[in-house]
Amino acid sequence: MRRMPLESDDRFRLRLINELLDVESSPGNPRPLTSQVLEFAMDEYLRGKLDERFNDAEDDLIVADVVRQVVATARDEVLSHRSRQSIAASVSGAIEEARIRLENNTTKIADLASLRVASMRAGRLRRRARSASKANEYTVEWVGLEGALDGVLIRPARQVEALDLAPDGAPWSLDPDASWFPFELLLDDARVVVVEEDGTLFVSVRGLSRRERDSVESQLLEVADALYV
Amino acid sequence: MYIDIDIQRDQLPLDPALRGLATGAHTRAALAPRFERAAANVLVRSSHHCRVHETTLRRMVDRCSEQLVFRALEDVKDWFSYTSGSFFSHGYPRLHYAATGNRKPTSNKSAIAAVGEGVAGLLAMRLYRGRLLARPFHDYPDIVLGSPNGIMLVEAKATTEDKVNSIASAELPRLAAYAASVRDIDPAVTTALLVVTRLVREQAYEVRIVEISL
Repeated sequence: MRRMPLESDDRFRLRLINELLDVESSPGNPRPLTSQVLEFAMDEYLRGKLDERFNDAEDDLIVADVVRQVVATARDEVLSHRSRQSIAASVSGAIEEARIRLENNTTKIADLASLRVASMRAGRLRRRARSASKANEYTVEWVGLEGALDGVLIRPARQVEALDLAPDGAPWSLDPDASWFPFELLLDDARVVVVEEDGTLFVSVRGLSRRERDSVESQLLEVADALYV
Repeated sequence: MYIDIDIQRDQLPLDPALRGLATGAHTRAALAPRFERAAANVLVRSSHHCRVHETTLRRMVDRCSEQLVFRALEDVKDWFSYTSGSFFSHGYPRLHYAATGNRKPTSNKSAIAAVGEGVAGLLAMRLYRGRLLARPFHDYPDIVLGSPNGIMLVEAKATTEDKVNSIASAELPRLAAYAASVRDIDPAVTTALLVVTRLVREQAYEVRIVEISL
């Protein structure tokens, strides 16, 4: 057994934002928020939430509504942390500044999402799917157009706390010197599964036939069942 | 296919004198040699090796690069095929000896930069247990990571030529001066990494990491 803790990207960013705010708002540090890293982290945190909302959409969304919801969620999540009330105005200000910095990004994300919806309707892009195996439910996402698929990403549909890189009878081998993400699981057919720090699995499917891709998907679900604790 | 990465890691503690020289050298070129000499006196060098599967590096390029290039590794492989004379073989289009004038073909700079960003992200994770926190777009530095030892800032450079050291020397004062200024307003930042990658062949890279401890 070789257990590695997992944390979603969203939770990780929120945790780091809270750590940075702890430094910024400590009693011996009465300055206004000046951290550049906080700025970078806040941008990525909001952008991640926008990406998720637009990626989940199967229809065109009203951009202003999505932005309003994302900003409100971000504010609630950051302010729900204990001892944030004293700097609530600064936190709200930092989130609002991030929203303004991301205005161009948001327009681009919305435009791309709209094109994506049209391509899904035309059958040129696959929809994000739920796939249930014996043990778990996963989100399966194909990367690339239907006629030129690049890879497949699998994530657990619910939050998983850890993975086991060396369970009994694992259908993969792992470099014993590998100590940190991204890990590479080598399957019997020489295919490599990339394991990322939020638990996402990636396999390349370039040049594979439809039948081979189907077999990769079921192989990947078996790996996921053995991997996630 | 696996890629072997030979790494030279230089640890550079940024004391106040070096901070001053870095800031000066960034503004006044005449101070650059003095900064370089002072840095050479205190840095601690070690060698490492990392082996990475192409699929993993491809994924790291997708996650860490902001270059508008879709198949960076394939592009780089094509370049190595060209420079090794492989394009003269049967089976390739007869394009590469029809160049006019003195203009020589060059590698795709965006593809090389993209691979350099992917390598930098990969090594910041594998060697420092970092996790991607932010990828600032059109900003400086290239990547920001959280790690058990604090926040890390990473700047990536890449080349196919034998000039890793000159690229590192040119960039180091800028990164050191920036990191020193960030440290004053961001106590959580503990390290800045300059990661210069030389793509030697399709399956062999050399990397110099300058690790600035703040």
